[in-house]
Amino acid sequence: MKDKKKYKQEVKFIFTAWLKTLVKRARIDYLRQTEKEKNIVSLDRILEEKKPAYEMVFMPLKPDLEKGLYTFDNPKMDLAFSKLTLRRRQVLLMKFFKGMTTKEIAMYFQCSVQAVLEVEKKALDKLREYMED
Amino acid sequence: MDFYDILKKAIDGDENSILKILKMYEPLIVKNSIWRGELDEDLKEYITIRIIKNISQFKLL
Repeated sequence: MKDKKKYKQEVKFIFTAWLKTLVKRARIDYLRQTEKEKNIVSLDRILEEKKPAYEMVFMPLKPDLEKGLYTFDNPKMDLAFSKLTLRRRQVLLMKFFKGMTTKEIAMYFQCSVQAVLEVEKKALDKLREYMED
Repeated sequence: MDFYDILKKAIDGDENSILKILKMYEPLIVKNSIWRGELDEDLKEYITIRIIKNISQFKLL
């Protein structure tokens, strides 16, 4: 009798755990089924296409940041930086020169934080590659 | 009526109880229905159908 009363109180937790598993599995099943239909677009294309609506809310960026231009003292670094794509230059400038957080950059480009981090990582990798050439 | 009774009825196939449970767990469903930063209605529907179909398999003591 006591056990049954205890079970009645605990059943919600047991059911919640059960349901969580069910929902997660359903999600995985669905994504597997439709993965082919949801065409995958490259990250750079998404970022280029989306225009910043952020400007209305936050202060507009300076022109040099918008064009992604910056002159470095080191000529090798300058050349390597100019080889990067616009988006990568912008992300690097925002992060390291303007001191914006990743979240703010994501809001500016209207994309996820993860996407910004990926662009940043690729940009740094490319920069390193060009510097070593 | 406590959760146990609702759940028992839902397992027996009572529509109202199933609706109550779905409403109770809507945040969980919505959270799992987000795909690429947006709410995917199809995914939400798929998950909801899966719950309705499978709720009778939960075993009560």
